[in-house]
Amino acid sequence: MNKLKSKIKPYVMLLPVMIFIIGIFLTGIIFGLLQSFGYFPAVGLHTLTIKYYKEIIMNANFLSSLKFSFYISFVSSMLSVILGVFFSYVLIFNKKGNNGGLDGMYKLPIMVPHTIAALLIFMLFTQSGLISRVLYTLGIISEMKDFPPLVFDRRGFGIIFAYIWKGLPFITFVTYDILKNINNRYSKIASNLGANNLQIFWYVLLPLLMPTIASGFIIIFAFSFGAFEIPYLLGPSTPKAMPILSYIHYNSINLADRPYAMVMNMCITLCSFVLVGLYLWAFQFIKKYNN
Amino acid sequence: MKTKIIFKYIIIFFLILPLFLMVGWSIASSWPWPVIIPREFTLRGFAYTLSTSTQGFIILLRSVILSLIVTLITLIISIPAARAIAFYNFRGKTLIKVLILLPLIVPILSVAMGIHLSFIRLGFANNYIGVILIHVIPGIPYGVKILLNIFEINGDKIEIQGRVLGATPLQVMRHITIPLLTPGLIIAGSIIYIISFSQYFITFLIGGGRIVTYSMMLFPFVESGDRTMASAISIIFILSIIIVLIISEKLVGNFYARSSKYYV
Amino acid sequence: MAKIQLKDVYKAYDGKEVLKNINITINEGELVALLGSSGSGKTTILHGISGIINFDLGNILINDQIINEVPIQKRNSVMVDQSLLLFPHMSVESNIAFGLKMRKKDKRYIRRKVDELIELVELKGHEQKFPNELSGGQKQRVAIARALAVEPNVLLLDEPFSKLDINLRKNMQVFVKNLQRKLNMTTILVTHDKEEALSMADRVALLIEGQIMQYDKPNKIYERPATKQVSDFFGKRNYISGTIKDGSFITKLGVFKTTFKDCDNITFVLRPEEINISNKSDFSINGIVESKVYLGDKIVYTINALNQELYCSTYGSKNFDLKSEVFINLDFKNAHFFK
Repeated sequence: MNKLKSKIKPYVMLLPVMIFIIGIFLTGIIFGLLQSFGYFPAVGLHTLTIKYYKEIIMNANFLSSLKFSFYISFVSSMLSVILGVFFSYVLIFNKKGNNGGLDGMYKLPIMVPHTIAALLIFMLFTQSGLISRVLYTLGIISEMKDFPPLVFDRRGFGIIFAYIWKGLPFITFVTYDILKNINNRYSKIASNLGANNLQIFWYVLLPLLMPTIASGFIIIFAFSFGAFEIPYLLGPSTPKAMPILSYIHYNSINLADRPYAMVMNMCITLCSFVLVGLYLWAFQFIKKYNN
Repeated sequence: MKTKIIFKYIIIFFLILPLFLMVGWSIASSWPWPVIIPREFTLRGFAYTLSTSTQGFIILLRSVILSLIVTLITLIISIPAARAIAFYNFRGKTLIKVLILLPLIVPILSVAMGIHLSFIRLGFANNYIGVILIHVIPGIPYGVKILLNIFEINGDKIEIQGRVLGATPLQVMRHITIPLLTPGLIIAGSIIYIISFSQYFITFLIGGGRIVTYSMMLFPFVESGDRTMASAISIIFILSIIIVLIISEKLVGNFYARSSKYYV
Repeated sequence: MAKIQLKDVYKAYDGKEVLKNINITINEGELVALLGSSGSGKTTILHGISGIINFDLGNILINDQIINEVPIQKRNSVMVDQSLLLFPHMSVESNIAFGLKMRKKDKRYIRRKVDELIELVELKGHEQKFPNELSGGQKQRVAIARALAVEPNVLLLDEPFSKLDINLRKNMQVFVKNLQRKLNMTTILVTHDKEEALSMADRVALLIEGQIMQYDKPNKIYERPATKQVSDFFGKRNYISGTIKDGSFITKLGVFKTTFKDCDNITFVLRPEEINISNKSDFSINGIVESKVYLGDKIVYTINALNQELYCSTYGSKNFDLKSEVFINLDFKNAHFFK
């Protein structure tokens, strides 16, 4: 009896979370998946089909959205990671540590919502924004029009800036403590064995930090790939980011359009899964040294 | 070394500068291009947000309460889950771990669109129940992961020691488990609160526009480019987060500081 | 391989003196143990030589060249720390090759050197393993090979065996000692373990509170301690003071025959094994057994004789009861003395 009880106990403890995870999260995805395959009883669609996938994949709008979203997420996440890790590295040389003070201020953007991040980037980078004003004052440009449109532009600069503004501090936040520990532990012995600072960073700190960096990258990539607010507020009218295109189809008066939205959602989800798969594949050997 | 310090301040500058710019805009009534400092000032944005006639303040309060409820629910379900993963071995553990972390990767937008119809049928859409339920999802990975780390660091030896010394399970929970967990609860709670308080799209979708949170009040002003209004609302947004976090940290922190003074 | 000298070295942390006026010379190919309890400053000396910290005053000389200003990565004085700090993301091979790679040595040279060292530290077949796949002793040998790879001026061992269990520790001590002899590698071993220092070192420097109390060969420092402090460090000792007159050593415990010249004040040091104990009255001094500690191969007694506490030890089957009366004999034949 007791044995049975202790066997069931962990499941009982997990039950509340799993009600949410299975009841809402997983169900939501599965219903979305079913609808993407055309199973949508609410509007009288009962047969499974891959026609929506076929149509979407042939659709030029969709393809340019996919490309645009991927480009934005990849570039912004990559730059966030590079700058965020670098910033982390710079911070660990602080003697006083990183609590409070000016250096602690870097954490502020983490708690600022994406909507506000979009506002800030808008105020900074539009043609009438602060940067344009500063450039005018410095005599670099003479008219508002001389300032290149960096927001609502087809290259997605505004979106990328906004995601970096949010992503860089996030990466620093998740890497800082770990990097500091690795550095305290291994940098002395490495320099004792003859490594200079650059070599220590490249051969010791960076490889040991890599798993953290990669999971940080995946989190911000997946988020920016599937989030609505920033591309909606800062993006061009074409191409649209995937989540926006998806919402347009979802919100269409014709309910039969919903499967298209679901196909796009599944594409977004799939891309994130591919990333996780790559991560697991690349780090399978980590088990060997991760103690 | 010098270049490192310069880079450090450049990065800090670009992270902080926009926030100052926002403060400037929030009180500017006239700030034409290409002037660097606003010419005329107004408190229109703050007045609108905080006045009783526009309901701005009511919306803010409701949003705070909504997000606090979401935080509480998420933490309450995360604690036993994190414990189970930390201290028990059972079939399907890896799968469950992956499932719990999955909301970090899978966009909440896909989930919300997928579950929307079911929520409508169950009567969860267009009301607070549905909004709270959907807000819990993105917080779960953070809640479970952070508490799991704390459990793994502390281990269960100290709780067993408590039992050996004659404490009942309930006493162990009251005097050992929860105090040890407090720092984790504060961090996880803060993150969950911020995530919930910042949600725009899923609130909009599941709430059907009928549940207006503070994020939703802000959105149209950003969309239309009304910088003064948007900045003022944003500043109150951020301040409200900071105030809530400080108060809850003080409350939770003090409670256990006092209790340990009495009982240890 | 080189000769290392420290001259008038001084170091303080926050006004607290850690090292006071350290002077020591370590000859080429010598293994010197810095022996001391924790906080005696022995690790600080090692860190200073390796360049991890700078001394406040004084000079470090390697082959008569002052190297105070040489940065850590160019100093070529390699530490092996007690936690070993093998790079967890590198295989055994890559760990050993690390220092050479950092020096941008020729690939073929690195290959040859690594193979040579793997052979030397008996790790053949483990080249591709990661540190957490190795046993404690294997990790230890990787750490030593990694240090030796860069052909250091001096090998600095900081309590390298303290985390190993007792049997493995003995094996590693012999292994390292043999390796050091074979390579004629100048080595400094920091340890708090008396036996380790005495058994491994060519010379032992005993550090107490930041000062070198004595620097001598193991048998000398053990048998001929320069001060009472040094002699106390190596274990319980009996100090018997008195005067010598006309071939008689006069003490509170009685009068003993001696060949020493007359002297007003002399203290003999007797190690516990230099006091014989018996239950028959064949010895001159009688006392009461106050306490006894059973240590397996020997038993250590505290005996109260004429109101003086004496420590003595017996080997084998001899066994005396607590509070029983015993007879003891002091053997001054080889006894060391302070004047």
